[in-house]
Amino acid sequence: MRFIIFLILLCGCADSDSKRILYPDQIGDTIFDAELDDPNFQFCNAEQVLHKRNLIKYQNGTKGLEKDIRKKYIAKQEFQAFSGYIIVRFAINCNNQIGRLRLEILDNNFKSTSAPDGLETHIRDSFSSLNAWQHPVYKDQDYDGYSFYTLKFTNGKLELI
Amino acid sequence: MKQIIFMIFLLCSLTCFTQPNCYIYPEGSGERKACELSYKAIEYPQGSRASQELFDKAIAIGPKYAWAYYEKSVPYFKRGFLSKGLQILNKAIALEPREYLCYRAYWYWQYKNYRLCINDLERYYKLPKAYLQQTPGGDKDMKLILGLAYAKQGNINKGIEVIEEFVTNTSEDDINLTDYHTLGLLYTLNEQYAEGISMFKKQLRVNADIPDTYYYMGLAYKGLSNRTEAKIKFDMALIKILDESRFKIANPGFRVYESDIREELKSLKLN
Repeated sequence: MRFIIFLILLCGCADSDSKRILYPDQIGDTIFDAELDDPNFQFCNAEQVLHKRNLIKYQNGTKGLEKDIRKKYIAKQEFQAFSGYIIVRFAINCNNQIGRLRLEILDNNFKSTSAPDGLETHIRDSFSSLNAWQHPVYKDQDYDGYSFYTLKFTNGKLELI
Repeated sequence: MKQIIFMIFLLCSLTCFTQPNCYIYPEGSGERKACELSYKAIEYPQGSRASQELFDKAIAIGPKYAWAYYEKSVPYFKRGFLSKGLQILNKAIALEPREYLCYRAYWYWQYKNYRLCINDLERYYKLPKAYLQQTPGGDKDMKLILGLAYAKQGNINKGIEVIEEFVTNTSEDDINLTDYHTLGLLYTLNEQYAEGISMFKKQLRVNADIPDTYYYMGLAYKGLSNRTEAKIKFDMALIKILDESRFKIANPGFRVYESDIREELKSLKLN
């Protein structure tokens, strides 16, 4: 009898675990990953990180961002093998710091692919060092928020953002 | 008045993206149940766990109900999860291409893959009973997105052709707030300055609040070596863009920044 109760409890736990793994509270919530993330980056209020991309600004808009990324991007020889897209997802906290970066690498048909050695790290580092972000302000309140940008490459050359 | 009509039209266009009436499906069918579950799903915030789980239930019980896949994909696209969004939306397209191809084309456009955007829209407009579809935000017809995508790919003539056809066949009462502007800017980029100016004049009758219109109009006058008019337009563009409550174009294709206008004004002074 005890064994049956144990089995029922076990199944219950397994079920709730699988549900928890399937979706975060909100699609796009990005939990801390010790291998990828800077532990010094903290949300001001981790319970209320906005998924309102348009509220995150960059000094001088997308043009300003593009200018700053181009300054940082060095098209190394080994990157020439890459033509496709890199989607950079990230969070900006209420202190205008960037963190929780996640990259999606896609080919020109938007199929998942891989980038040459070093490119992913280079893009991650370039984005991490941008310092002209403006956090979301919504109904006169300061918030943390998530955003993303798409970078297009042709033969390792950064074409558009 | 035009803006009020636009808002009404926008609300109407948004309702096109709401789900169909569940009663059109037979009682007890998978589609009926999936439809009812999807109704429950949209009561929760978009992208929330509760909402996504209900869409999963809907899909499990009615796998041929396309709207559940479509609606489940939306938060992924909006939040930068392109592959995941496509993986889900493609199932809706396989079931009902006429309803969902334009939506995928729109996200291809948003994520800057103009070739795939063009492929989807060309496929869509060849479908039997293809109808005019707006962007999800309702700011413009997808034909304008197609025209802009051609221009982005370097084929401005083709872009002009598509938008000219749309504008010619649309009455001024039905034209959107930025349609003439879009055609005018393509003319200007194509060095058809007189056509550009003529189109911008039409635009100003519909909506005179877009800084971008004055900027491109300035470029067109500059192209015709009319420096006086060019300066007047660039000055106006600057006034408009410095207005916090200015009209901002959704999906402009070729966005104008304050620095662009200042550079043109500086260049006029120098030459």
